Amino acid sequence: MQGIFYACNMNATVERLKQLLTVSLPQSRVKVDEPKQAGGNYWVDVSIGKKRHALEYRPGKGFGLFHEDATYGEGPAEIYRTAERTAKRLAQLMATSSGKAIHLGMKDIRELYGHSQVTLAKKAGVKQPAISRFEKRGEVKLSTLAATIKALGGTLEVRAHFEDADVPISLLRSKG
Amino acid sequence: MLSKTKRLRLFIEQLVSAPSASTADGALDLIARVLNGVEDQHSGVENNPDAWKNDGRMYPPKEDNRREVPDRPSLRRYRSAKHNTFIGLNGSIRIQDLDGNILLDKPGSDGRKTFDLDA
Repeated sequence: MQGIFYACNMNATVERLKQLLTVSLPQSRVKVDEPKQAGGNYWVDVSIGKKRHALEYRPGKGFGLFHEDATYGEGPAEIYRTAERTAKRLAQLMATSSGKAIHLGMKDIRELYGHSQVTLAKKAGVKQPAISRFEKRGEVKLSTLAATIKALGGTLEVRAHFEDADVPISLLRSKG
Repeated sequence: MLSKTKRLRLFIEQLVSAPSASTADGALDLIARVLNGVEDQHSGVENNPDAWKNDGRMYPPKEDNRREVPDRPSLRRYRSAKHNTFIGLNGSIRIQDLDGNILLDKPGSDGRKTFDLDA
């Protein structure tokens, strides 16, 4: 009984995405590739002409979106935990001239969360030109970036990858 | 370290030249062994199949992405973002992209390819 409920519940999330896409991207073609077993992963292929994206839906984890350079068996570059945010991101991508997912800039993230530069700056406690400079030229203080991401409801994590190590870098000033 | 394109080519080349499997599970083991070997040696990325993120490493098919193939009970299909991997009960393997371009069509140990089965 629990398995049946789980399968139905999972299906509902994919169905919800399909419904949202009929509104936000009415010209899109949406194809759902269902798993063999309950609890398996769904694939949702969304296309408008030559623009297309494959989303992997993992129950309990969300929708994974793959960047253009993904190859055999690679994991998703972006993960969205709700159908609503996934639909917004797809609409954002489909609105670009290439329709391709290459990278996610600060402007994309800000718009994904429905903010103008002014409202985000106010919420983050920074000046609007700081947001503008970041979006246009990529210049940003880590403290501004951390405050901006926090204002959007997220947390910023900075990591350094070395050949023999993989470590987080604290945004707090080093002591001692 | 090698680029993804070169590693994919190496994976396909090594899979082509490997002895054929005789069962579906044997074919999946073969893919995993060859791909993990290439990635361990040339990707510089630790094997972390459960992370579900783009870490720059290629991973072999897993059961949660398994599908049936309509009217072909002797085949399994494993979906990934850009490819489908078909596995035959005789150990045959076909990897093709979503446009249908075939990257590899390796027969099983009985000499038959995936789409020779149930034909």
